[in-house]
Amino acid sequence: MTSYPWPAQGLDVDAIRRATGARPTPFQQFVLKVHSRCNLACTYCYVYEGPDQSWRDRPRAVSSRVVDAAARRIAEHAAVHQLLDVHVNLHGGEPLLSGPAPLIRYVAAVRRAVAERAGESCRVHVTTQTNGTLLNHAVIGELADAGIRIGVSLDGGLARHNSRRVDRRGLPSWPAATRGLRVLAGYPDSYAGILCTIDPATDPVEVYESLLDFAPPSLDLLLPHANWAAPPPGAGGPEPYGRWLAAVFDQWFDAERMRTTIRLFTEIVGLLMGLPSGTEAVGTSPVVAVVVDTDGAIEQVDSLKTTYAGAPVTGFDVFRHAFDLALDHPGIAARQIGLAALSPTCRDCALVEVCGGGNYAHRFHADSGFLNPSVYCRDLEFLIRHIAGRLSAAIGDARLREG
Amino acid sequence: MLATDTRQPVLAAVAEMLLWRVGTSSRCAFYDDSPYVPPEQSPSLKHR
Repeated sequence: MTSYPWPAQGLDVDAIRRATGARPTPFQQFVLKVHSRCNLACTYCYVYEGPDQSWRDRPRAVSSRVVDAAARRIAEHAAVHQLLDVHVNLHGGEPLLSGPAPLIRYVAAVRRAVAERAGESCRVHVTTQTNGTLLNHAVIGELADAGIRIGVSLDGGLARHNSRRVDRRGLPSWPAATRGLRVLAGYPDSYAGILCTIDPATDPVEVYESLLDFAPPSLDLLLPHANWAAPPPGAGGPEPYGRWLAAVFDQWFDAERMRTTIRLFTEIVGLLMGLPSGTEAVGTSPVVAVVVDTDGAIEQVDSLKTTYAGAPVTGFDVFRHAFDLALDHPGIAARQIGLAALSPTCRDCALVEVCGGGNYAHRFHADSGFLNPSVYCRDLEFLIRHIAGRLSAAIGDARLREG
Repeated sequence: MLATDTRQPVLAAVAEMLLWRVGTSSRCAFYDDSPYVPPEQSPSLKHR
């Protein structure tokens, strides 16, 4: 595995904690890999198409041995830190590739272990993120009975928005995905929302309005994973992603009622008002997510797979190590120390408290690791200034956190 | 005030969602490739 200069080298976690008084923030979101393969072959997939190909060496499906060990470690972590809430996100590959039963068994093990070790006062909230193609009434019903809410990945509400989401034969996943999503929309208690990866070649308002046809309770608009070594696709013209997002923001903001929550916009509004963020995309709040892969490895988030081979590795696993050990890993600690983890360029920026350097994976440069502004720096600045302007006009108040 | 300002219903709704964060010491960010953890459901710690 290649070693890059920061934070793998050059970040003295203990020194920063001593200097700032910062303490590690316990993990509160556990991304549990149920299946390491997928029935789709999306052209931009960060798991299969990036420089990290570790999926090839992982077990296809999680074993009962990993499930039991992960459940014990989560319960241990919840008990030690007296967590009131634990969020579990069942992930893949495609988590439903072996049907709903493995998800239900995993969740049952976690709930049982947490109740025994941390007590009934610790609530376990469970979601799964799927491509939607395997959803039907029976699957959704079984997941609902197990208290598992469902999020779907879809890049727009029309077939042409999803041309990159294809199966292994190159055929569009759209018919199966939308069939599943239409069924899911009939189960509002089970429906967590839609994640949409932005394609700046699309019409932003058309993408947004067409997704509303699926009645998502929440929506997020994700910048495609890119970095300084692998710049964003289709980045013609100035701030194409910022302008795309600003167009959706206006459509969303000017509506007569909130038709859905959009995570990125909600979080930026909160940050501009001086509140802490709840997403890794913006702001400087400590990231509290950790991954358990199908082999039991404790990993950093998957988006790092777009940077270099081995980037998510911590060297820990649920059989031998408590999650607390991972809190001291430089890669995880770097995401919990706020401004101290940002480049001088970011720290000198008037928007730093809002932007927070953007998504960590988007800061990567082959020479300097993650100590850089986001490759989407100009897009983020455009969007944040746009939203700040709209808020300022709306509330006639200069007390926004904007320089 | 925002919550009753019907001139900007979306802003009012967002403000209501985020109200709990005012004055909180609880700060945590979640993974982007997972469903949104709505602000009113965000985790908390017994002791920090």
